[in-house]
Parts: sequence; C-alpha cells; structure tokens
Amino acid sequence: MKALVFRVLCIFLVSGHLQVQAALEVQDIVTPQGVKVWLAPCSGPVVSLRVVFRGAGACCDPEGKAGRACVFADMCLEGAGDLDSAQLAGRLEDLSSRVSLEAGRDHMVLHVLALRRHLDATCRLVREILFRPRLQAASLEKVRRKHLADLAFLQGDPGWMLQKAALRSAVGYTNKKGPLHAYARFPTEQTLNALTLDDMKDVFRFRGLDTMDVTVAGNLTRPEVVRLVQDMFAGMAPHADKAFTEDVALPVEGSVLVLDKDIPQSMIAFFQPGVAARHPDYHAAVVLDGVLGGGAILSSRLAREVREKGGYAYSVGTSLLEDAHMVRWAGRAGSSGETALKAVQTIRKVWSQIAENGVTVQELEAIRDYLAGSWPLGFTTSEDITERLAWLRLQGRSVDDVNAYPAAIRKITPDHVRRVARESLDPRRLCFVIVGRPAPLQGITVQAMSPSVLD
Amino acid sequence: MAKLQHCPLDSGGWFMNPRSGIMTKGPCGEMVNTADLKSVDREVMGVQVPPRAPLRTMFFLAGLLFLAGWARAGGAAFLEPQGCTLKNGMQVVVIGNHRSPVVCHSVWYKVGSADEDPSRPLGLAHFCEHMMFRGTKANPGQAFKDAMQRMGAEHNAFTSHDCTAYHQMAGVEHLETLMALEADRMLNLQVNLDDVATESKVVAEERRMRYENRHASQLDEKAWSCLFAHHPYRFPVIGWAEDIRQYTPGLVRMFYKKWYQPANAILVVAGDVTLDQVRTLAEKHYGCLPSAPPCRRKRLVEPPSHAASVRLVKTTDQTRLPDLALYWRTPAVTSKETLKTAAALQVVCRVVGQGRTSRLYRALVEQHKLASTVGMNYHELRDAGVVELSVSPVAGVSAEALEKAVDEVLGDLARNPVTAAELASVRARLLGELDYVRDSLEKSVITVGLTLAADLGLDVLESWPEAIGRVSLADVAEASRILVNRTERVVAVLEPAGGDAPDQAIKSARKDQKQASKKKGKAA
Repeated sequence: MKALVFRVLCIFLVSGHLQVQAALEVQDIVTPQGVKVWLAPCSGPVVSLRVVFRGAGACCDPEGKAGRACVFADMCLEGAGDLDSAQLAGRLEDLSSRVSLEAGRDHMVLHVLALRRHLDATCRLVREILFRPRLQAASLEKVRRKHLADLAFLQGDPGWMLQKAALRSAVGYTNKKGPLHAYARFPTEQTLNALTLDDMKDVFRFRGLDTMDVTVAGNLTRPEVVRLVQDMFAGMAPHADKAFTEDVALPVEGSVLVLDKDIPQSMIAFFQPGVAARHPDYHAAVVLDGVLGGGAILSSRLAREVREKGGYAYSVGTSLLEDAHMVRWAGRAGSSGETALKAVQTIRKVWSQIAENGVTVQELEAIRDYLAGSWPLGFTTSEDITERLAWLRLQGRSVDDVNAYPAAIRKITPDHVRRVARESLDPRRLCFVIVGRPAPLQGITVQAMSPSVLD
Repeated sequence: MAKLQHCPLDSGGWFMNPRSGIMTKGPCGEMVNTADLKSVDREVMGVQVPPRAPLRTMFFLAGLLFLAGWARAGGAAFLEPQGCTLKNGMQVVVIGNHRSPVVCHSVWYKVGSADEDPSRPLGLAHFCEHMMFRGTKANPGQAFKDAMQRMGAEHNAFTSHDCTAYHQMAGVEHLETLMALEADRMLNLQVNLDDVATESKVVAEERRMRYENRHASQLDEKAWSCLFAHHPYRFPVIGWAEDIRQYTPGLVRMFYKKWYQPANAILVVAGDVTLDQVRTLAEKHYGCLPSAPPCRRKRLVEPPSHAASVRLVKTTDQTRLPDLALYWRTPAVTSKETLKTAAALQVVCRVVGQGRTSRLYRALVEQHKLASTVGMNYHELRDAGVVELSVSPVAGVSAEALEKAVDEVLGDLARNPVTAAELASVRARLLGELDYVRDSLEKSVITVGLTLAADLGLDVLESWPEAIGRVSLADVAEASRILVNRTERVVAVLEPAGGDAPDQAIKSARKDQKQASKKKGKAA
C-alpha cells in the first residue's frame, strides 16, 4: 500500500514538474548601464555566463596581421590586474572556475563557467581580464610562440588543409586568383611575427555596449544578475568600432577540386549557398536539412545512401552554416581513395533527387518530431543553455522564440519543404573540395588545386 | 594532440554538442546550426579514440578520477546512486536529477575489446556495437532509429577496452519506450550477410579516419601495444585493418550470444526519475528476459616489464614540429582500499602535468620556453591504470630536448616531492570540481557505468571523495615513484620528415661525446 502511494505521488510530481518546466524561462533584461542580458534562472550548482562581442573577431585583424584577435584572446588570460599568468590560472583553479576567451571569424566570445558559491570571486577576476589584462612583451612572446608552434604543427594536417582549402574555394580564391576575403585570411609565420603590443591595445575599440550580448544561466535572481553585470562592465565604452567586411558571393558553378595528399582516406567538404536564419523559409530549410544530411543520428538521406547502403563513408553529414557575411549549406564526408568520387556522385544524386522531389511525408514527420522533441534536451545544463541562447540571439531572435521553436518546426508542411528544396538546393552549384588522392570516376570531372592555395 | 583541441585557429575538427546551439568551436569559430548539425567527429557509433594522448578521458574511469572532487563539507557522497538487481541478474542504478524533465537511459555490457578471443578477428566488440543498429525482428531496418527520431531522442553508443554502452537522452515520458527498444535488441538482434558486408566497409572507413589518416594516432596505437605487451589492452579497440575484413555473421552471432545477456548488463538511468519508477519499468522490460549466467572475463596478466623502457619514433609529413608523448602503466583499482593509490596518483598528475600551475607547464612553457603545450591524463581501466603525458615543442626545439627537460622535472619529484601546500590546494580543486559531474546527466551516467563495467561496486565510486580527502604526503610520495621511474615507460616521438631543428641540447650532447671520445683515445 505504502509503495503504491509513493509511486502515485512520484508520477504526480513528475507530471506536475513537466507542466511547469517544459518551457525554459528566459528573462530579457537591460541594465541601467545599457547591457542587454538574457537570464535563464535554473537550479543546479553551475553558472554559465557567455558574452558575445559581436564583430570583434578575426574579421578585425588588419591587413598583414592575421591572427591578431586569436593572439589577443590568449594574451588576456596571461595575467590580469595584479596577477601574473600563473597566479591568475591558480586563482581560477582554486575557485573551480573555467574562463575562456575565443576569437571566431566574426565575433569574440567570453565564456565563464563557475560554481554558484564562487561566482562573485570569479566575476571579479573576469573583470580584470576584460579591462586590465596584462598585455606585456613577455606574454606576447609566449603566446606568439604558441601560435607559431600550432601553425607549424598543423601545416601538414589533412583536416587543416581541407578547412583552409574549402574556405578559400568558397570565397573564390582558388589557385591564387581573385581577391582574398577576410574569411580566407589565415595566420602565417609572417603575420604572427608582425604583431606588436600596440596592435593588441587596438583591439579594445571593437568592444562596446552596443555590440555586446550577455547570456546567463544559473541559480540567480534578476537583481543578482543586474548587479553582477553592472560590476563586471562598469566603464565599458558605449560604442564599438566596426570593421567592414564584404558579403561573400559563393561560386556560381559547382566543381570538384582536389588538393593532392597521399592519405588513405580522402577528406571531402562540400557546400552551396544556404538559407539565412532571418529568412522566412529558415525553419523549412532546417527541416529539409534534417532529412538531407543533418538531423538525427544516421537517419538522413545521405547517411542512408552514402553510409548504410554504399558503405562509402563512416561520417557524412550536412548543416546550415551561417557567418555574418556568408551563408552556406555545407557538409563533410570521409571516404577511402577508391570510393571517394563514388561518395561525391551519391551526394550529388541525393541532392538532385531532393531538389526535384522534396522529401517524403514520412521523412518529414519523423524529422519534425525529432527537431521539436529534442529541443528541450539542449536545456539540461547551464552551459548548454547559454550556448544555445547566445546562438539564437545572433540569429536576431527574441526571448519568445526560445520556446516557440518546436511549434515553428511542427508547422512546416511537405509542400513548403518541396518549394524550399526546389528554390534552394542546386546540385549544379554544389562545390566539392577534396584533400586526398581519389581514384578517377567516369562522369566526374576533377580539377587539381594548387598547394600554393594554402600559403 | 592537446594542441588541436586548444588551437586558437580552431582546426578542422568539429567539436559540437548536437543538442545545444553552436557557438564557435566550429572551424575558425563559424556559427554552426547544431540544432541540425551532426558533428562529423561526434557522429560516432563506436570507438572514441583520440588522435593523441589526453582525450581518452571520457570513456574511462578517468571520467571519475579526472573530475573527481568533494561533495559537501564532511560528507562522503559523490553521486548518491541507488541500485538494485533484477531477478535475472541485471544490475540497475538510478541517479536522481530533477532539474529538467529529461532522462538519460543507458545499458552497459560488461564486454570490451579486451575480452575478445585473440584467435578470432579483433574488434568484434566494436563491430557488434555497430551491428546493434541494424535491426531486430520486431524492429527491423530503420525502425529503431525512426523510433528515436519520433521521440525526439538523442542516442549513440561506444565501445571501449572494458565495456560497450548504448545510451539515449529523451523526455522522461519516453523512458519506457527506450527500455522496450533496448531490451529488444539485447537478445533479438538479426545479423545478416549484406549488413555485415556493408558495415565492415563503414568500420574500415572509421579506422581510416581515426588511424590510417593520422600518423599521430598510429604512433599512439603502437605505444599502447608496447605499454601492454601481453594484456589485451594492447589491441586497438577498433581492431586492425585485416581483422575488419574478416567479419562474418557467424562470428558476430557467437560474440553476441555469449556476451549480450541480462546478467552481463547494467542499466544506468539518470534524470527526473526515482529508483522505484525505474525498477518497475525495468522489471517489466528487462527483468522478464531469460539470462545465461554472467560471463567470466579471462584475460592474460601483464607480466612485469623487466625494467625495459621502449622508445618509438615515427617520421611524418603531417607536421613540421616534433611531438613527444610518454606512457606509464599503474596498478589497477580493485577495491575501496586500492582506491587510495589512484587518488594519490591523481594528485601527483595534477601537480606535475595538468593545467598552467603544474610543474611541467611552469618549467617547460614558462621558464625554459621549450614547449607550447603540456597535457597529462590519468585514467583507470579494469586491469590497470595509464598515465599519458603529451608535450608539444615550440619551433626550433627537438624531441630530445623536450624529453631531457621532462626528465629533469620528473626526476626532481624524488628530491622535491609534492609539498603539503601543493597537496592541500590540489585536493581542494579536485573536490570542488565534483559539482560539474553531478550537474550533468551524461557525466553522471558515464561515471557510474564505467565503474560498474570495470567490476567495481558503487561503494567504491562513492568513497572517491573520501579517498581524495585522505591522501597523505606519504601516499603521494609513493605514487610519484611510478613517474620518476624512467625504466618502465614508453616514449613516443613524432618526427617531422626532412630536417632536424637546430637545438642546443643536441649540440651540447655532441660536444660531450667528442670530449668523451678524446679522453678515451688518450687513455688507450
């Protein structure tokens, strides 16, 4: 009897919990100072705080100084305020906190992971890192050494080669013809050695209240977060300078470019123009991508055709990749030399089939269920929560969109997907970049990529 | 390849959590729509074997040791799991975490690559794991994966030396369906020739991706086969390329029938559930399954290495700088009592090589400016522990110079052992990090699963904070001896092809040699 009552109680508690917790609560806050904050209050001992400095990424690197943003980001953790590198690291470790600063192509992102009980002490350190990093000659040399070493280490790495080659191909810089877009500029020994302390100090002007997003998830109240953010960003410049970057026009014609390297498995990247997050067809494109090559594990058309049926690849997948100035529908695959071009052929075939015929009703329903149903799984830890919320904000969403995503997905109809497939998927524009030594295949024309494209 | 992970240039790996949104960590920080994307590297069914040292963590007890820490003041609780055993011998463990209405459901089989029959093709445990996704009678073909999609569930699996695990994450209302599906494929897998043929090709591609394409991984694979000369940990989990070509339905069925039994399985569930709820459902879906008695694991014992160290050198065109890795074997944890050694070793590793305040980092990166990164990793397998040290040089520094510098720091441990202050600080850090494990459903499940799959009890797991709390300076000094010992380790050097870097150490070594031979000449 007792066990039964306990069980019933448990079920009730769980259901009640479900009703209350199915939606993530997100508060939209603007502090008196003007900092825009999203707060997702949640239980648990871990607090995640993510700050996106929009536009302060590698795109701000001056000509001839590629790598500046990345070096700057690393230097900020080499001592701040009264603490040198070891002292700062030691202090953070003592607090069980993790602070990272990373420069991507477009943005610079600060991530703070701390236990609730150590949050205040951690944030005081973060303030020092943000406003008083010790940008000294010794730390510049140390960070430069590391980046030079990383570069040398990666030079012959096929994955690195692929990434570089694919990006350069995307911006139209193949065989060293055409202008070099900011996205295709990579650090070299020369550019890293050209960096000075003045260059580092110049980075601060790309940060400002008007381009900052702060996202917090943890056991905090609104007044606590406001106070924390006020303290952390007091004195922050109201306006950030912006670096101008052109939009990328992806190649109008598809191709298969090969960068020769003697490795048993050819690494393949492919892309065509994508659908931007702000486009009205975006959610339909997301659903379409789920069927095409994204979505649930091993359930996409590409996974079935290329991996399960063909056995050509262990990994194959697609996604919508959006940078501030480039939107791609992109994918990756890895296939041995003998079968790499068969994989390419199959990918093209699937692309054409879906462009012409859309997807089946069954596929659509399954992926809708998956995308909508798995959405809450991204909200189970503070870190996951801020990662996703920061991403939604970069897409220009509001707090209401956070919980509206499943509904937006479930509204997508087969006809809508069919139209988007017809309008957006273009197998003739699909560009393949391969690092490896793929065996030739009749029907596929391949062009060699000069290794100097990586210089 | 600690380097690749920390490379600020964000190299070609895709490190993404497919559930959450993005944020950088895509190549060069691109914005990645991971609500749709499956990371190429993460879309794994099988071996999570990193290219180089420090990443093996997740799938070993290291998950436990690496992140181990203290629970609360004076308390000894870690994850507070609750367990029971079903009639047919299947173990059940539940970790309550009521933060979200989500559940992480997993089934762990106490079989890994080290349990394979070495007279048969290797990598069967991993291959069997792949085949588990190819369908049963009740759920043929894509049915299992379709069902996962419909539930909005994330799922995957992995194989390691000691265990094979199948795990899903879904809304708690789907727990029963997850159990039904997992219970179905526990005993009813269908293995046919076509599927074996195709999946063999897939696994061959996986091997190419992880090993044949990456010289650093090949070196790591070789290093393990030297570290364990006899014990089956010497085999790569995925098997050798020749093995992968020899799989047949008969081999798979034989393996499956032997090892995939309820009495050989552990159910670990974490999330918005209670033991009673899970037990009720488990009895309904798993408890009714017939079981053979649990399999006995018989493995060759690794004999002492007779104080012979091994040095491996591999030349590669995949890098322009050398890379250095060192490996040590450590005793296994077999009980609460032997946990003490593991705790002490964890402290030593933290002091010596983990993080920017470690001795190796301060000496090699800061002081002597020889290295750009230092990574140290310690994890326990069922029959042994392994410590891996990875050091990457800055330009112009040879592997020999690095090795010499590493030996100086390690040798110094004997003269200047871990101090009371270092011990206190590291202890507090290890304990403080425990909350991160408890906060994550996945980490909780993996920590529990790895422990039990290594044939340890929950009491051992739960006594970890206490073990850390009790480590003494004497324990640490004892544990340090393993690292100080230069005669029982494997050194693996990755050399860039074409040209050695000018380097002081080599020059002075040559000078010493010249002087020594001059003296000899004189004496003669």
